[in-house]
Amino acid sequence: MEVVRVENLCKVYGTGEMKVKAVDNINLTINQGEFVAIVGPSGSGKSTLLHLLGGVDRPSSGKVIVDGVDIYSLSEEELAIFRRRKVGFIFQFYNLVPVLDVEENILLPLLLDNKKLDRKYIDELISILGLNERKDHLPNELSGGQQQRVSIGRALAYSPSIVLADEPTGNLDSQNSKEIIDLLKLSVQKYNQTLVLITHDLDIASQADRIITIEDGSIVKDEKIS
Amino acid sequence: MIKNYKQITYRYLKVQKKRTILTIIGIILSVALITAIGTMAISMRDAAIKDVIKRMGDYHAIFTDVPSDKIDKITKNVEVEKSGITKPDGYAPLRETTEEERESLPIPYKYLRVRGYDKETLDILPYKIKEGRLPISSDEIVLEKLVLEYFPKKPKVGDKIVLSLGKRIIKEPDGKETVDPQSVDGGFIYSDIEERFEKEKEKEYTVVGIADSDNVWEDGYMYDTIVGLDKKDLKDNSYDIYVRFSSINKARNKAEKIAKNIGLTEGNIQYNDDLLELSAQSASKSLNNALVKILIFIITLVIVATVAVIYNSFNISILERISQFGLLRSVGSTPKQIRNMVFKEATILGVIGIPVGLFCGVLAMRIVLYIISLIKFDFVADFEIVISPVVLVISSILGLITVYLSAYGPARKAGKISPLDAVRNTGGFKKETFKKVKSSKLIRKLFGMEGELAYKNLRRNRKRFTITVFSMVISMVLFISFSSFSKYMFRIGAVSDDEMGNFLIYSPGNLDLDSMYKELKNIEDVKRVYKASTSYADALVKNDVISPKLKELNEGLYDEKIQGSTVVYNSNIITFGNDNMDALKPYLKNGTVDAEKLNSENGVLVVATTPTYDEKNDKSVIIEGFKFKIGDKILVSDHIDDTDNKDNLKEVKVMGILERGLLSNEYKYNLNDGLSIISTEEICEKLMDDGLDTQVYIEMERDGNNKPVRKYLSGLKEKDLKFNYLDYSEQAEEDRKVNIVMNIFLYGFVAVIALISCVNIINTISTNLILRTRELAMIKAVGMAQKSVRKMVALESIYYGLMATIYGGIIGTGLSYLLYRIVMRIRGFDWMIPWNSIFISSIGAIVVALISAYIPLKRINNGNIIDKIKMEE
Repeated sequence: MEVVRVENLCKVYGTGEMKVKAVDNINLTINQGEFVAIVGPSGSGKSTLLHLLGGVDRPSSGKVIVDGVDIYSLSEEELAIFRRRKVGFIFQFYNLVPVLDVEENILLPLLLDNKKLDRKYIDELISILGLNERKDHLPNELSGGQQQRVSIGRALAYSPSIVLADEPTGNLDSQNSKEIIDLLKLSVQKYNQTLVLITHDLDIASQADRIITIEDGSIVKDEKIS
Repeated sequence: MIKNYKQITYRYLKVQKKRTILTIIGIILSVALITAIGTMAISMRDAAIKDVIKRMGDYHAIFTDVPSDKIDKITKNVEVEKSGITKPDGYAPLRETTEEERESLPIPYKYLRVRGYDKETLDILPYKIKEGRLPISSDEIVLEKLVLEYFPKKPKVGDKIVLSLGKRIIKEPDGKETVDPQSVDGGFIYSDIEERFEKEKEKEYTVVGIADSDNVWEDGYMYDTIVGLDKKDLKDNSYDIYVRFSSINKARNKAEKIAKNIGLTEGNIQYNDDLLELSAQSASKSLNNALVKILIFIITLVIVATVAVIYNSFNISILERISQFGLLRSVGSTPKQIRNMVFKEATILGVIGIPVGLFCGVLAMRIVLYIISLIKFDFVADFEIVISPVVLVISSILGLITVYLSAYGPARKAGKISPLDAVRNTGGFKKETFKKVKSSKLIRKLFGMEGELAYKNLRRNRKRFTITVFSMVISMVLFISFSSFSKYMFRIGAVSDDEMGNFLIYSPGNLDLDSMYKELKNIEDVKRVYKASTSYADALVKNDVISPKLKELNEGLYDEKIQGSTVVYNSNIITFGNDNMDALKPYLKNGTVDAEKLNSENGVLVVATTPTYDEKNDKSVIIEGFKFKIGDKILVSDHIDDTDNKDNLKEVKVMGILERGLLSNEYKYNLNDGLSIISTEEICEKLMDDGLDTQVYIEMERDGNNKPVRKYLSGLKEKDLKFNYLDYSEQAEEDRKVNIVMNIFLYGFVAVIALISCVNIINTISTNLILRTRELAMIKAVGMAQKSVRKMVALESIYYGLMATIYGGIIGTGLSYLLYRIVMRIRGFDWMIPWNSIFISSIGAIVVALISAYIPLKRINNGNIIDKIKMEE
């Protein structure tokens, strides 16, 4: 089943001589439960593409359709709600709210929606992430790996349509990286999530179902791994 | 565990404790100031209302000429809370007027104006009895103390007196006769009207009380006299009804309605205008009041200042959290949710700050009043702090408005933060748009590399530079305008610099001045007794002694010439008594003050200094008006007439030239562009045919004991009621107290404003640095020494201070001029650029800026460089 469809997506910075095409006419579909790795050199437009998929940036032209909805036809308000419910972001630098503890950080998207908690799901999620002992800690009391696990929890808290991870292991040592990727894979399989992940690590990329290679804003290779 | 996203707010507030506290302090100070000002204003109004009630009585309106059958319609009206009935009982002659008295007023008798009052009216009106009690029945009477003299035997409380009561009938120019209606406010003006008295009856009264006199000046022809009123049989046609409504609101409408209902006209209503006005029943009038304008000006300033402080505080805390808000945005909060969070923060701060502010404001007023009461200031005796719910509500609302107004901009800004700011993982300051700043060789030479870096830091971000300078400017402007305000208030309240001595006898009554003079001179600690006399005269002088400047300012005034001399009208002949000629010595520019020499040569002294008015430039000036030489002749006349009568003119010789005279302004300078001629008693008497009007000034030794003189003078007053004097030392004491009170208020105010200003500067500067923690650490990492960092930051602070001085100085000066224009209307004085305040506030701003940079800098310097670089927040 198709979750994301990208049509003729472009993102241009600057004008005239200074014009840079960060994303240049990309077409793409991603199916439910797929684990997609995006690779490419620095500045190739990977992150911009990911941002456009998650509705935090706005394209210069083209469409992104998630669950049948053209997200850039939404208002700012609706787009925020879209992000809250349909997208889970995982960042390289974790980006946790420093004043909230682990559990609260994970629950943040739900809190923003004033939604009643599915306690069972959340407890399960926290224990899968191995954060049971750390529930009441503030982010600055955690190691990098632990913080990244919290942000995975936050991304999955709403059972979004798509999880977007921008070099989630870029800031971690190899041991922690492995753990994080294992966790991501586990949760994707367990909850049948769709995961799009940017990485420089070919080891990680090779664990994906599909590897998309981007250069100069265009897809140069799109291969399925079986 | 938080239950709702908005609860994140609490966490932020807790984490940012320092900023939260600073913001709350800002709110508290703002609300407290507004509350204090409002409470003060309300309390003053309350004191003024009490004063009016004390003077005029506690009524709102009087219905006059009410027939007896209509009285109930007024007194039983639902709107009427209190009412009292009075009735004119006619006039009673005291004695026939003398010929002399009739010359000024053609009235055949001095009268008692007898009026009956019921008990309720006497409650409403402020009559106080010195001895005995107020009358109850219609045959009881209270007499004024002055009146007692007119009876053959001074009546005492308990005595019976018989009065012949009747009507005063006035014959108008057309021959028609009118009966004086004896209305509540006194009735007719009598000059030039023929009048006769028609006796109607005789009535015996029992004197039940003696009242103090209102007629201090003692040339009254009418004396109000209170008798009782029997309410059992009210059958006359002209009663006057005092009314107090249960609510003063729309008192005029209510009164008019009642009058209309019972067939009276608007002319039948008199209002207690002062009371109604103070109770804001005629708002337009009071708005014109300069004091009200000042109040509005001050409150506006306070609100602007506190909005600036609180806005700054919010703004900074938003700036610091840009990545935080971006993060919330990326996980799906809507702009509205973010805005709500900021408003929630504002609300929490307001909920804490406003009640504390209200409390502090009232408390501050109480403390100030307590301090004032310690100096036993008369004004305070009646003065009570009125805690008005209206003031509290208005202050709270103004506080809330201030808070929300301050939060509005930052909240919008926070809502607009793009989620990308979080995703890109930037702290606040990477977001700023850098501007390339050209290096300045001059700055580099003067302040070295640190100076250049400081300069670039300042210039690279216009917005932040503007915010910082703006907050300092606000602080300086407040300080400058308030300190000039306090200066102006001093000028207004300042005691005039008249050297009036300690006592002034302005009316000797029937007592003998010469013996009084001798007795006074012998009282202990009396330094001088001046028998000061003055009389109008016209002087003829040589044209060239009048200074050209004086002629220029008073064109046409010195054009009239008689026998080749120029007439100087409005001149004065003055003597301070022969014993006091030597007191003039310090002011003698030339010549002699010796009484004998003056007497032997018909000599006089002249005053050179003339205060006059420069119409062109619309200001008062003091110039040298006359340039006499010793030996010049002056012709003096008490009245120059057209007949050119030479006998009228008396020649005197200028034997001394004085800078100025003595005592009050009346004697000190040349008044009304005339010439003051001072001489001995003998010469002055010779010059003036009509005799001189004499006042006695008593000057005490410094720190001398005033009590014997005071006792002596009050003794004289007991002897003769027409004897009147002023006690300046008492007044001077009171003035001194007024000054202290003003000081406490104004400096208290300036202190609070200065405090607000400091909070503002600390907030801005320290945040500026905290936001740059990483950058500063980086600079240190690449090898800048601690000392150099300090120097760089210090230079930045100083530069901010200097920029703020320029803008703040200009705006502050402008505002102080505006205030001056408002205050001017109360009392004129010259405006000056407030250099002092500008200087102080500038130094203050720089010092506070340095201190507020020093504290966070120390924290930054103390930590590990790498930690700071890594630090995300």
